[in-house]
Amino acid sequence: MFELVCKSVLRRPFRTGLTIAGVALAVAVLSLIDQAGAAYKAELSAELNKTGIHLMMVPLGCPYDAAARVLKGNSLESSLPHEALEIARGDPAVEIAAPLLIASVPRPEQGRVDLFVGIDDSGIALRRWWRAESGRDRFNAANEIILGVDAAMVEMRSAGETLYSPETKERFVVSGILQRSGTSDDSRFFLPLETAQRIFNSPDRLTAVAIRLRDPDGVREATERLRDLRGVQVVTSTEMMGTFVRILGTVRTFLRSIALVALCASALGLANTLLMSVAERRFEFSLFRAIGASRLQVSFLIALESLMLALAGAVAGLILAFALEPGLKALLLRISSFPLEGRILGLDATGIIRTLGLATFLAVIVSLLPAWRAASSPPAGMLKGAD
Amino acid sequence: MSRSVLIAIFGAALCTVVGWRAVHSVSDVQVQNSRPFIPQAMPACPWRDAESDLSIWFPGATEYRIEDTILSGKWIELQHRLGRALFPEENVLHAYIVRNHDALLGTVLTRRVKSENGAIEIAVGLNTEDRIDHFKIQRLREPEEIVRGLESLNLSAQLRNKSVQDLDGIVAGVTSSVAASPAREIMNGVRSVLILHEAGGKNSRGAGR
Repeated sequence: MFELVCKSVLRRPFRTGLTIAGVALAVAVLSLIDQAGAAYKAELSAELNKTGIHLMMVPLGCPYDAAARVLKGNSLESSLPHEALEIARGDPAVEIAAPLLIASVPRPEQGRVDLFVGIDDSGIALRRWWRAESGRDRFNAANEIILGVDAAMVEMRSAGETLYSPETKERFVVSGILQRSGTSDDSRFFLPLETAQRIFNSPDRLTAVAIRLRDPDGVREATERLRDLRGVQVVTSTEMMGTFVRILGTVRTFLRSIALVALCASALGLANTLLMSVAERRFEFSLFRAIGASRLQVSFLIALESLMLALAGAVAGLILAFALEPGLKALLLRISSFPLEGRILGLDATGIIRTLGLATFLAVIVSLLPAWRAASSPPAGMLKGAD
Repeated sequence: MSRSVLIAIFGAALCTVVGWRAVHSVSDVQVQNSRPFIPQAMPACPWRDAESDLSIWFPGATEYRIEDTILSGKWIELQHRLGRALFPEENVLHAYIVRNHDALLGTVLTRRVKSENGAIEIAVGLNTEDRIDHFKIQRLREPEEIVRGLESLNLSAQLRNKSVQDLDGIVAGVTSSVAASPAREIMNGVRSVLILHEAGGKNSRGAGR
């Protein structure tokens, strides 16, 4: 039976090739969209987990915008009172409460915006990814500054050298240059918190407080307690993640719809191919029926042919998806500020089984009508007509 | 085609996909774990105010394009001329070629130089004779007194119409000023970038004319 199916599939190689190509294209597009969405979600989650931050206290306003801007090291227009830090540190669930003061210093005539981040030892402890490329990743004096690797390269500074800020008329000593972390810290200037508060005329004010809990499971209770503070909003990393994922999910649903339309089109192409094949071979099927084949057996022939075409298309689609993956990643890098690390497509057993399962389901569905048509070929009538 | 051949083709396709994925996964991991430390080249100094400078420096210019010329093949000659080892970023000459349609109008070269308080970014506009027509400090992090000192030295006038051969004397001449140190760094930077341009820039521009 398998040989019979193979012969019939290869009877019209061009038609068969086009059908397989249609299925392959739809499978490739669906796989890439699905996996790219999953990869972005995993990257977002990893980025948030890398920060080690479970909660963030930010001033009133849109909390997610504020949290996202702080995570990216951008300044906010309003600030928190210092009491927010004291209350956070007094909470028994809080392991680390790290204050941040972020100030942007624009110099439009030179096309420059310097971002200074005031942190203390708790803020450094929260940054688990900090490693000193040279010098130290700690402050020993109030006039010291730590540079991200890109900031150090642009300013051509090394540990021990001086950096002058014309806008604030402050001279700093570079205590260390950080290793590249792939975060926004790479292009920032880090100061001791008190120095930043003095320089930017913000005594006892903070941009945000980043919090790591002793037990991440207690995030809800801790959030409820800290939300009681006036002028303060508390954002959890789950909420931040949830917002980003919701936005991503909307885009992904839209793209998936397009891919599913493509898949339906390829399914219709497969059905059309099978119907044409059945129409061409009605005499053959009548002959099978005449020599004793049951309707089920004839139907099974068609179903097997459909399965073969669908599986061939699925495998070709996976290969095509791998081939297109570098191009898609380059395109995503160009249009998105959130680069994807590693491969978009992960070839694991689950992914393969899911793709092949989808192909099998497709094959079964589209083969129903052609199989019924083939099985209902009247043996006597067709054979009489052939005479 | 026999069943066994078809099965063999199907199996080969699957094995190819699996094998390719496996090979790339391993090689990715190896690269991440065993990347050697390589001193990083500074990113190229951009031409910050290109649109504005273009209209003033090269009236009639219709376009500019970036040309990167590899100079690593000439490093011995360049080391000799510069009198020092090349910096990693000096293996490539990053130049902005200015044109009026097909006619070459000039070249803009940019560079960062290291000063006591931070980097100083400069832009130099050359005419078709490779002489300096324009000079500009794009960015600097110096205190007021040094900025005024640099302005008083009027580096732009000192550099006007100079070629790379003329610069040696000028560099040595900057001594008595509060801005002497950054001025010397700037002059050295201009001289270096002109030497690099002479080594590589003419070849690339000649091909475009």
